[in-house]
Amino acid sequence: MLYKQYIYLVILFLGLSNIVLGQSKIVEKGDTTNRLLTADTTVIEEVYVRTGYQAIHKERSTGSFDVLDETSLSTVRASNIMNKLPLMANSMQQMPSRTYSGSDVITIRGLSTFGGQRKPLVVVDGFPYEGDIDQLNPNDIQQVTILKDAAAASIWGARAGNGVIVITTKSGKYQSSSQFSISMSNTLASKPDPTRYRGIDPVDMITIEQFLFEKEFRFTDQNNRNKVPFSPVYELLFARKTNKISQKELDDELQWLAGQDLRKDYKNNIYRNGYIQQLALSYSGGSQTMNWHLSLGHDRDKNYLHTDKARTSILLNNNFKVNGRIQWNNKMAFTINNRDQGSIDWTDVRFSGNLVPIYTSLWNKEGMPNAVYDYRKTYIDTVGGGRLLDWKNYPAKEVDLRKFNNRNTSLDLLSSVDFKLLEGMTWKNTYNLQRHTTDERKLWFEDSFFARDLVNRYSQWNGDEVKRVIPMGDILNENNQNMIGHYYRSQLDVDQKWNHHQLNMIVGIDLSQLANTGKSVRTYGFSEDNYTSSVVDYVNFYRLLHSNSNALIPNVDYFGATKYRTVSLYGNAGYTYRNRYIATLSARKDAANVFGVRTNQKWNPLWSSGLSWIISQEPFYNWKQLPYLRVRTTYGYSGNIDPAQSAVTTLAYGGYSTFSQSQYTFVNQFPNEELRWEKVNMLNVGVDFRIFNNRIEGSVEHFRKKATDLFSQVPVDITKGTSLLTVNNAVLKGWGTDLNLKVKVFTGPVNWRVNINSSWQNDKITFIREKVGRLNNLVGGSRLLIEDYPINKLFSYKWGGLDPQNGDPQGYLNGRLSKNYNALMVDSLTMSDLVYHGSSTPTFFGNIYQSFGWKNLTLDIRINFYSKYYFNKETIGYYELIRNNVTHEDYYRRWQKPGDELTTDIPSFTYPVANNNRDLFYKNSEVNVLRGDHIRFQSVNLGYRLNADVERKLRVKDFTLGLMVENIGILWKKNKQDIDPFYPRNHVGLIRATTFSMKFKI
Amino acid sequence: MKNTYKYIIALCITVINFSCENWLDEKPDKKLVVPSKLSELQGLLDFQARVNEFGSAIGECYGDNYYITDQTYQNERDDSQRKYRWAAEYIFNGSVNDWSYEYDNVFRANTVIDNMDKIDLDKYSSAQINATLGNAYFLRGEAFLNAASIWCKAYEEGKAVNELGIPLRLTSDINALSTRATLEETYQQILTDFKKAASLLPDQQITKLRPTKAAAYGYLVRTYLWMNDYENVERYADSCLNAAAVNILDYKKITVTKPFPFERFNSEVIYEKRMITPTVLVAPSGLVDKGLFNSYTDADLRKALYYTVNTNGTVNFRGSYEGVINLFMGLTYPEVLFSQAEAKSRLKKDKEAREILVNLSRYRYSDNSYYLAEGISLEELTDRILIERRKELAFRGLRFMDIKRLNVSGANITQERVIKGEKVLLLPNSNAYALPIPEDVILLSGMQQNPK
Repeated sequence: MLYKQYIYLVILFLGLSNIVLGQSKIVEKGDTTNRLLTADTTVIEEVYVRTGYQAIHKERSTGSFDVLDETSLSTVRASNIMNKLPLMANSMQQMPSRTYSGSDVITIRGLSTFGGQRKPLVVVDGFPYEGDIDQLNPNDIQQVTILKDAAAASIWGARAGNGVIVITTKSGKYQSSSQFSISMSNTLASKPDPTRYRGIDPVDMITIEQFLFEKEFRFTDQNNRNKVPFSPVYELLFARKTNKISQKELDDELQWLAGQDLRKDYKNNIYRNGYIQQLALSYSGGSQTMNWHLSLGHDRDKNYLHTDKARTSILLNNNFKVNGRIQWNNKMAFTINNRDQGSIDWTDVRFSGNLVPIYTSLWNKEGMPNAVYDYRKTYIDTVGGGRLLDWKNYPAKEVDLRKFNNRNTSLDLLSSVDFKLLEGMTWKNTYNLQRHTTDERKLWFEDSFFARDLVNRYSQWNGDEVKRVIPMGDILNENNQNMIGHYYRSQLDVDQKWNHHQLNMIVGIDLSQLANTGKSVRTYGFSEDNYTSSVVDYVNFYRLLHSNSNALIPNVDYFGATKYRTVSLYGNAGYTYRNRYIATLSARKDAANVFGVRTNQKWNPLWSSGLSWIISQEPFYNWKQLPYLRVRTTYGYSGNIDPAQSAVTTLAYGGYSTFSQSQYTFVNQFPNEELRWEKVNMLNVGVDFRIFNNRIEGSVEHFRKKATDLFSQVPVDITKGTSLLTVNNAVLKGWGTDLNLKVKVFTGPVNWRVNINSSWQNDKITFIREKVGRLNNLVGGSRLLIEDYPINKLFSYKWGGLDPQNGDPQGYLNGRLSKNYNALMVDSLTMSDLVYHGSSTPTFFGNIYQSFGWKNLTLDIRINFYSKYYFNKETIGYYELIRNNVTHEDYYRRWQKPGDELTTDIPSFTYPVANNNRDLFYKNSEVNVLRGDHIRFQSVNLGYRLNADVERKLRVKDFTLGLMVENIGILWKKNKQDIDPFYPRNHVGLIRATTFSMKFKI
Repeated sequence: MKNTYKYIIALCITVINFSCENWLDEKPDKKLVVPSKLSELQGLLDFQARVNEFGSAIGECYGDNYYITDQTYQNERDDSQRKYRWAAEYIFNGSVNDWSYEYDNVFRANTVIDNMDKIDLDKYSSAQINATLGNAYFLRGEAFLNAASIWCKAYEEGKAVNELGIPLRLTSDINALSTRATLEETYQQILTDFKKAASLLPDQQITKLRPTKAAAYGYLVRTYLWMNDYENVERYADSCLNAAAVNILDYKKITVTKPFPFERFNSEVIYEKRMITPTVLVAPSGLVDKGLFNSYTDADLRKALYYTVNTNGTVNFRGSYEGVINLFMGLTYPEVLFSQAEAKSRLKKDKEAREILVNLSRYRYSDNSYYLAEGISLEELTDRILIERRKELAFRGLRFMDIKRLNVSGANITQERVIKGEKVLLLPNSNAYALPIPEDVILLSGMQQNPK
C-alpha cells in the first residue's frame, strides 16, 4: 500500500520537474519522495532555493540556505510564522529579552549590527514585506528559505546584513486536478498561575509597612502638593494615630487585609483558559494554461486575560500562460486582524504609577468592587463636597469601562508579466502593491477612572461651584496608520546551456516607495451611544484641582508622514561546468532618499562571489560509502542602512507654542559628516554529504563574518549639547559552525527519522573607535561596548560577601573590599573589580526533531536546547520594595543576624534607604548570575492517518487527526534554582497548550 | 535580435538611473527639515519647555533662604541630600542635569548662529533677522552666565585671569573639544554675547519668553554687578530702564487671598525664566529661613504676599512670579533697580541711591511706613539696600551668587545647615562655592575639575 503511494508521488514529481525547467517554477520536495528515491542519486536534490529574485536549483547554488518546506513547517503550531522559525530552523534564534537586542528579535547567525536595524529582512513572494508579519497566515506558506551567508543575501544588498527570510505563498500547479483541502484545529491553553510568582506574602507586607510607619517613612508626603496616595495599611495607621478608629478596628482591618491577595483574585476570577481555533480552507488546481490557488483562513485566539484576536485571510494566486511567450502571474492577499483587548494583568493594577500592595483585593468585604486611591484618601473623600465625580479607581470594574480595539488590514497585490524573449531568456516585469492599515481605537467610558480622573483634575472649583473644562463623557483616542508600498521590478533572466556549460544570470532594477501616514486624535466628551462629541480649550492654561499647578488640557493629537524611496540595480550570475564546477557572482547597488546626504553618497555597492565543487560527480570518484560529496565556499558583502542618520543638522517640528504663536523646533539629528553605511563581510565554507547509503544526509558549514563601520550611540560630553551621538564606531567579528543532519534511522513499516540542527556562534568586538564609558556600565545587560568581548555579554560586580556585622553587600573598588555603593555606581572601577561570565545569549543551540511512524500512526517529538550562556536572576531590592511595592521571595532568605552571611548572600533590610545603589550593586553582583543552559521539551505530536479504504469510502484524501502538546517543560537546566532562564521575571512564562487537529482533502 | 534587447534594457536602466537622482531627493519625513527658513531657527529658540522653563535651581538650593527638616532630608534622594549639605562630589547625576540645562541652550543658540548663512536672507527684513540672531546671542550669554555662577568662583578683577572659567563653546560642531576658559575670558564672552544681543534685539516681543533689548541690558547689569563693575551697572541699568516697557507692581493692589498672589508675565517681568523647582525649596517641604522671614516687618506687604505661615509656625514661600508653585528666576524691573541703587551707593552717589530705594518702598510697604533716616552713612545705606534686595529677590535663584560675590568683598557670610543634629558649615570663599562639574563630563571631556 505504502509502496504504491510512493510511486504515485514520484511520477507527480518528475512531471512537475519538466515544467520547472521550462518556466522557472518551483517544485517542492517532500521528504517522502526523498526516502524512496535513495537508489537514484542523480535525481535526489530537486530542491530549489528561492532568493526572492530567482529560484535556483540547490545543486547550482554556492551559498548557505536553509529551506523549510510545507511539511516541516506544519510540525509546529503557531499563528505567526516568526514564532515557528526559531524553533525549527538552522542557525536562527530568538534572543531572550534583556540582551542587547531587546525581546523578540530573531537573529540569523548572530547580530551584525547594534545601532542599526536588527531584524532580518522578510521577503514575501519576492518583495520586502512591510506589514506586521502577523498578517500572514502560516497555512498559506509553501516554503521558507533562509539566506544565511553573504552570497545568498547580498542580492538584497543594503538590507541584508542581518540575513533574509524568503517566504513563498502557495500557488496552484498547471495540469493538476482541482482539490479542496480543509484543516482545522482547536487549542486549549492552560490558565497561568500568578501565585507561582512568589513575592512577599500579604501578611509580611503589612508588617513591613507597619515598620515603615513607625519610622515615619514618607510622612512628609502628607502635605505633598500633588496629593500622592498612601497604601491602605498606611491610611489605617494614620486613622489610628489620629484616633479616628480604635485599636480593635485597626486590628480587624489589618487581619482582613492579611487574608487578601491580588494574585489569588486574578487566579480565581480573572484568568481563564486560553482557546485558539484555526480553520483553513483551500481550493487549488490547474489546466494547461491556467492555475489557481484560493485559500481562506480564520483564526481565533482568546487568551487568559480575555483578549480576543480574530484573523481572517484570503489568498488567491492565479497564473496564466497567455501564449507560448507570455506568462501572467497574479496574487491577491487580503487579511483583517482584529484584536479586542481584555483585562489588564495584576502587575498593571497601579496607584499613582506604583504597583499596588499585594494585599489589595479586587473586591471589598461586602463583595463590591474595591477602591484604589490614586490620590490621598483624606483628600479625595472630602474635596468638592460631593460636587465632583467619584475620584476613586475600581480596578474590578475597569475592564467593562474601556474598549480597546486594534484592527490591522493588509492588502497585498502582485502582478507579473514574463516575456520569453528567446529560448532561455525571459524578461520579467513585476509590480507589487502593499497596503497595511492599522486602526487603533481606545475608548474610555464616562465612568472609567481614566475619564473621571481627567474631568476632576481639570475641574475649576471656586469653593461652592464646579466648572468643568473637560466635559463629562467618554474619551476616545483614535490612531490610524496607513502604509502604502509600491514596488516595481524589471528583470532579465538568462538561462543558457551549451555543451558542458550552463549559465544562469539575472540583471534587474528595483524601485520602491514606501509611504507612511499616521494620525492620532483624541475626542473629549464623546458619546459612544449617540456618536456626539464636545470641544475643549487646548490653548489656555487651567489650574489643576489637586495640585494647584497650571496645565494645558492633554492634547495627544498627532500627524506624521514619511516616505522612503530606494533604487537598486542588481545582478547575479551562476556558471556551471560539467555539472560539478560552479561559480557564482552577484552585485548590487542601492540608493535611498536618505535625508541630508548628497546623492553621490546615497549609492552603496555590495557584491559577493562563490565556488562549489561536487566532488562525487568526478569520474575518478567512486567512494561507495560517501555517495555524495560537495564542498562550497562564498565570500562577500551585505550592508545595513539607518535612514535616520544624517550628515547635516536636521530639525524637527515639535508643536505649537501658544505664547510665541509659532511652531517650535528642536534639533533632531546632530550633524555627522563622517557617517558611512554599515558593511558586513562574510566568508562561508561548507561541505554537503550523504553517507550510509544515503541514510544520513548532512551539511557542515563554517562562517566568519566581520562587520565594519557599525553604528553605535556613544556617550559624549553633554557640554556638546547632546549626551549620545551615533557614530561609525566599531568592528565586530563573528564566527561559528552550523550543522544539519537528517538521519533515517529505520525505514520501512516502522520508521524513525531524526533531524538535528545545531549551531555554534560566537562574536567579539575587535575594535572600538570611541573608547568611552565607565566600566561599571558593563554590568547587567549592558549596552556598553568593549573590545575583546561579545556584544551580548554578562559582567557583574565582584562579590565580597555580606558584612558579618550588618548584612551589607560588599564589593571591590580598585581591588579593595568596599561598601561605597555610590562609588561603585559612578566611580571608575578597574577590570579586576568585575567578573566576566560569558555571553548572555546562547552560543551553542539547536533543535532535535524526531518522527516515528508505524502503520497509520506518527509521533513527532521536538526538543530545543540553548547552551553556553548566562543570565541575571531577579532578586529583592529594598528601595523598590518600600517605594514601589516590588517584592521578591528572596526577602525571606535575607541576612537577619550575624552568622547568616554563612548561609545566604541576600543583604539585610536596612532603613533608611536613600537611594537604590546598594540594591543595584547587589542585583548586578556575581552571586545573581546563573548559567542559562537548558533543554526544552517543545512539543509532542501524535498523528493518525485514516486507512486508504476508509478514505475512499468517505471520499476524502489524506485524512489526518492530530493531538499536539506544546511547551511541555524544561527537561534539564544547569541552574539549580527553579528559574526558567528564558523567562526569569515573567510570572506567566510559557503556557502549555494542547491542540486537536483534523485535516483532509477532497 | 539578442543584442537589440540587451541594448534596450541597458538604455532603460541608464534612463532610470539618471531620473532617480531627482526621485531620491524626496524628503523621507515631512516633519524633518534642513534649516532653510528663519522661522525654523526662531523655532529652536521658542522651545519654551527647554529655553524658558528648564532653569537650574542651584542658585537657590545652595543659598540660605530655606531649610528642610531631618525627616524631609531622610526621604530625599541621595543627590538631593548631597546638594543640601554642599557635598564635594556627585552633586549631578545622569546625563540630564544642571550642566546639560545650560549647555543644551548653548548648543541651541550656536545652531541658530551657525545656520544663519543657510537661510535665504533676502526673504526677510533685517529686523526679523536681527531679532532671531540677537535672541541666540542672548540665550548663549544667559546660559554661560548661569554656568559661571554655578561652577566658578566669584569674579575678582585681576585674579580672574588665573581662575578657572567654564568651557566656552562657540560652535555647534559636535566634534569640537570642550576646554575650560579662564574666568576672565568667560565673563568677557558673556559681556560680548549680551552686547551683541542688545544691539540686535527689538524693543518689543510678542511674549516675555523672548528677550528684548531691555532684557539684554538687564542681564548686562546682572553680569557687571557680579563683576563688581559698578560704573557699568549704573550705565546699563539706565539703558535697561529706558528701553523697558514695564511698570512696577503696586503690592497694595495685589489680592492676598489667592493661593499664589502673583501672575505670570506680570508687568514687572522683563524676561521670563522658570526654575526646575525641587521639592525641597517649596511647600510643604521647603521651609523659609526664620531670619529671613523675621526680617520683614508687618508693614512690609511682601510678608503676607510671599509667605504662608503654617499652623506649626513654619513658613512656606508662595510669592513666585510664575503664579504657581514653581519658582521664577527671570529678570524683573525691581532687580535692575536694586542693582542700580547698590552701584550708585558704592559709587558714592548716595542721594540717587537713596531716592531709588525710597521710591521703590512705596510699592512694597503699606503707606509711607518705610523709614530711611536722612544722612545715614554710605556703608549703612549700602547695607539697607542689600537687606531690601534680599527680601525682594528671595527665591529668585539669585541668593547663591549674591553670597558668593559679597563674600569676596568681605561680607563674611557663613552658611549653616543642621542635619540630624550636626552642623554643616559653608565658609566664605570656600572651594564649595565653585561646584564640582558633573563627574561624567570630566571623564568624557578630560577637563579640569574644580578643586575640592
